[in-house]
Amino acid sequence: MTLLEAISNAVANQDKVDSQSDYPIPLSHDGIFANLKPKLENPNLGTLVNPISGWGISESDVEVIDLGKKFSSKLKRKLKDTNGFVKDEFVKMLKQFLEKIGEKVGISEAESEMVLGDQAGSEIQILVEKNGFLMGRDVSGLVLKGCISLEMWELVEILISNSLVDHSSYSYLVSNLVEKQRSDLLCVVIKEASDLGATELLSILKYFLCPSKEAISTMAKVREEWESQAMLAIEKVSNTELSKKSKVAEEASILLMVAHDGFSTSELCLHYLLASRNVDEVMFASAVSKLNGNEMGSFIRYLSKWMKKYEMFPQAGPCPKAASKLGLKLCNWVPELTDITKCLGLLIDENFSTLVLYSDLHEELKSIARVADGLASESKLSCFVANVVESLKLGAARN
Amino acid sequence: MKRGGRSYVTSPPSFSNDAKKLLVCTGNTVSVFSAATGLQITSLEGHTAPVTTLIVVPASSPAQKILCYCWTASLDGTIRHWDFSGPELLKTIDAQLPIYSMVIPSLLSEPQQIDKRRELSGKLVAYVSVEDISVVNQGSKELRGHIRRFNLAKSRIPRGDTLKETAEPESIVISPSGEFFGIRHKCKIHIWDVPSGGSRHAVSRKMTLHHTKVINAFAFHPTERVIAAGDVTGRVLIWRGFGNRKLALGNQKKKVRAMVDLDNAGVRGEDDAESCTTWHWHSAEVNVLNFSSDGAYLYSGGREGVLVVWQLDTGKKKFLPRIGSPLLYFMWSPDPTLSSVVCADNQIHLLKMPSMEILRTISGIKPPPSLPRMYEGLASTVAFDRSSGIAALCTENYCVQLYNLLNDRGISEIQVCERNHQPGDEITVVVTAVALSLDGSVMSTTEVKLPEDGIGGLVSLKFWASEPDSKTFTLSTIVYEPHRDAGVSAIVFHPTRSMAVSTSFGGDFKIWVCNSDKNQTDKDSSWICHAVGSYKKKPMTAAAFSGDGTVMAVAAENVITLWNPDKNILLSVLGSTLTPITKLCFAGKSEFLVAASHIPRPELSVWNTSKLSLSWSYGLRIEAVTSAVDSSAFAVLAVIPKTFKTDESKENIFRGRDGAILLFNGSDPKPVSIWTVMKARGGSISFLEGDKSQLRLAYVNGSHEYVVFDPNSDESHERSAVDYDGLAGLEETGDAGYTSLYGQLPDYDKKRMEDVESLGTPFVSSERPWETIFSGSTLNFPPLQKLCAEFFESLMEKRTAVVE
Repeated sequence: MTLLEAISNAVANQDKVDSQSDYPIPLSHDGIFANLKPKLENPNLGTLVNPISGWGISESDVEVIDLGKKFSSKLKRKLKDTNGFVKDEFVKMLKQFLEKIGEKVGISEAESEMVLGDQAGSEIQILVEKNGFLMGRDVSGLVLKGCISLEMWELVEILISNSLVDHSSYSYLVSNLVEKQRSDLLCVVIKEASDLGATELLSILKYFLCPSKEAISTMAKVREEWESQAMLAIEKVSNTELSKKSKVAEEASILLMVAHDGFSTSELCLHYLLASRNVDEVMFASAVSKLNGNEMGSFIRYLSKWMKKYEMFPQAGPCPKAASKLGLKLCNWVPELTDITKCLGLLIDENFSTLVLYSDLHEELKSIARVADGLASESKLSCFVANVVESLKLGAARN
Repeated sequence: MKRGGRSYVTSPPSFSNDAKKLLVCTGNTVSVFSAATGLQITSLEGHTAPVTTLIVVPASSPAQKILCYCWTASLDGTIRHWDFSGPELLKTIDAQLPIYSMVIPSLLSEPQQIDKRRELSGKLVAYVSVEDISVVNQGSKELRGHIRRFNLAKSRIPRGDTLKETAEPESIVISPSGEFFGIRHKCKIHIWDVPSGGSRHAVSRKMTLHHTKVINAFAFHPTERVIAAGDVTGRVLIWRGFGNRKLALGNQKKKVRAMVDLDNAGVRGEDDAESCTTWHWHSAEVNVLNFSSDGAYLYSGGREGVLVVWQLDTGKKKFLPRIGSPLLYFMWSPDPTLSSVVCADNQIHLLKMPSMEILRTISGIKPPPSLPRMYEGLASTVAFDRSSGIAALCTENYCVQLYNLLNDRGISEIQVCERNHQPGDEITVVVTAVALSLDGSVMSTTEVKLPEDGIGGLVSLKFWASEPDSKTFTLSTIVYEPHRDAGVSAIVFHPTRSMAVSTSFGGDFKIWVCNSDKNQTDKDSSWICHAVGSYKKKPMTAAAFSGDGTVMAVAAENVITLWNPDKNILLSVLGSTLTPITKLCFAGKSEFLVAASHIPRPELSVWNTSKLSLSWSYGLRIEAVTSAVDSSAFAVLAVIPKTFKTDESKENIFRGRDGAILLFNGSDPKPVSIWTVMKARGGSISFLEGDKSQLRLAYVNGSHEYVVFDPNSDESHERSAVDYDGLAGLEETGDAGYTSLYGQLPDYDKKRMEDVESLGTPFVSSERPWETIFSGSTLNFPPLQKLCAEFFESLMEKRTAVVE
């Protein structure tokens, strides 16, 4: 059997195989070179190559790996028992495990009493942030499954934000978040994941374009975030002490106002998807081609709103300094006009034959065409003015 | 283990007295080459540090030309006396200090003087340039270079008389007559005369010549009091009549006094010389300067790689251009028709004089090219033909040198981009990658022409086909801009078929196939593009074929993707590393895939492709990866982290070593064997498996020195890679028997082919001239009357009987 056949079989059986690596964490070289010694009694210092011996995996790595294996097998047994496994037990197991592997590597942790309730959650979050990279891909995958089944969403957010979710786990994660209608965590996934596939993108698009009534309630958190950032921008403009930064704050407040006003809660979540640099164009086109009529209509209306916004507020533009200077991080997640037009082009390219059949969308498309014509003619006129200004500058410089 | 690839050009070589041998300093040993064949005959081994001086004892009479004695001096602090025909070590003298240069003037004096001197004084005097290590240990800025006088008759030399101290040790130059010796020091030349007579405490007298620029080289005339010097700007200065005041002979003192008041032309200040002439042809510094044996000509050479012959009386010039590398040394042999020139690219050319034709070349391994900063660490400049032990090494001047690692010999050289050598510092063309197929029949190179002010950059991908007989390559395909304007990051050949993949930083990879596979003919060996692939427009940084050739792994920055190379189908996404991957390699024919990444977090990871999961990983910076063909073993060249270089407890292991070779078996993260190495940065490793019974590992370090060893043994004794037994028969190479008398017999098959081809020539009828009238020149139209008659006859079906 050739390697091609072996890999094809592995791909076909990828969901069934629950393979566990023998060495899930990167092995450290800190303790290895200290134990090396020459293999010969009197090594010649002038030779190009000298044999040595004494290479061994450091004890701390071996112990961390063993702890990971034990925790992994124990957690697998617990996850199969759907009735008896409760949140407190899971938190206790995870806390013990993270504290132990932290001790092995030398990360000091002050011993503290077990605190139940909300404080227990915050403590486990700190431990995941500190020692999570030592879990390895297999253990972090299991921990993710446990958090999802027990609905510990704060811990899921920390796993996503700290890049502890493996590439192969995103499909499972997105499908569960859509099923349980965690809109805020889906936005975090869009922000942090660097390798989303077409299936995940399609699930996210369908979820946001035609949300259910229960889903809208969980999106309120996202709207609150946008509102707070917009209010913060307005406050910074009003603050006279920041006179040097007032121009940046003014631009940021206009941009955030444009992004917030007039959009529904689910449409605010779509901002992240359009503004993301990690979403591949080919994958996005593949996802867009599978939308149905209602979803396509929602998408076109959303894009139409953006076109009108940019027509109404031409001074609104990208504001990259606001995130670093003023702490307005959502300025990085406002789609630009190029993002809007590119997305619109993909949508029309992929679904042209279907769009012809939906007569109720024609009016919306015509209005988009009018806005586009207006923007195009305006840019043409602006080019003429810019050329004249440039010529005048050159003339002044020559004199 | 076999060691080779040493530098031939760190110190000047010497000819033997009969001009049939050339003695070359190669690191710690002296290699003896045959001038007739250019092959190594024997070597003098014993020094434990690089040899810096080689002096062949000259013959005092024609009958003594067969004598083979020489003196060597080394940085190990010893001076040794050899018989290099044996070869045999005769005597060892411990000078206790590193010796950078040595001259023995009495060996060059007249025969009768030698006899007198030995009878009177009973000693052999040497002048040496040493480094006083005790000053270095004190950490001060005192002068460490000393010129001292030693008595070679004693086996243990005391401190000796010190003639001069300089900041660094300088090379000593001696006149061919043995009367004078000197050193250059910045803008000055210091000259001493050799004391004559039998006085034990005779003191050398000294004089100094001055110049306005730093002097690079100087030489003494064989008979006259003339010194030639070359400086950093390319000028050649000729001082005539030096030392008539300060170094005058006893009986000339009165006559010279009258000349003190004269104004000497061209002489600077109050230097003791009659005149000074300046010649300027070289555009850069002069490194080579030597007089001919009769004193009529001066030879100069420098960084532009041209040997210039000046006629001393008239200043007329003759040239040997396009040597291809900066010149380092030029020396005569006792045979007036033979001389040698030594170049910085580790080549020694034997010249036929006076025509200056290059008879043959002793090819050492050429040094690695100097790459622009953006290509450091990214270029793969060494490739191996593991079946025959030949390495393809990128060198300066846009060349790839084919070097046989098993017998330490240069085979041939390919100039990837045809340009002359230029001494400018600006690099305009870079060969960024070289790759060889597994059987060594195809080579691939990529070169980048760097843009000037942002205009004119070009990337070229070239395929070269091997000539079966001469072990050289000919160009078969050029692909301009294979990935548009993006650079090529890797080229990998298929293990069993004529297929290759090139990856680019622009986000795609291309699969190339040879036309001979498709057309079933051997004539067309050009390569065409078979498929194009990409993964989310990520920069493709590395690629590898599996051992059976059915799977191709491509690294899309930090994501590993698996492809079917025949159908160009993405099979799976294996996983991702934290940093972009720089090297990929399947471990033999197993399912394990080795990946190495560099910046910012170095990592060595091994993946199990049949389980689509990570097997194990280390946080190590990896310079090179290689795997054996028929097992799951692989070896990596790792750079030792800097934290351990300063650890004094491990000084014995890691002193002077910056890397380690680790031999692994696929699934076990504990290495089977480990070796520490020198100059791992820029190095490369490969398994060599010519004979299936012997698996060997070759390591080429950052300076293109190499060692070939058995990874399953602990032997660390190094011996030269030169195969002495096979060389005896090579000197008798030549045609024999029928061929030598009558030449090669004609090839019958070719003759038949030609006959068949001639029969296929289309037959043109001479009865219808209008059918071929337009295939010739327009000036040769036949007259219309003739044409019309022929035409109408063909239409009317002319009756042959009537004409007859």
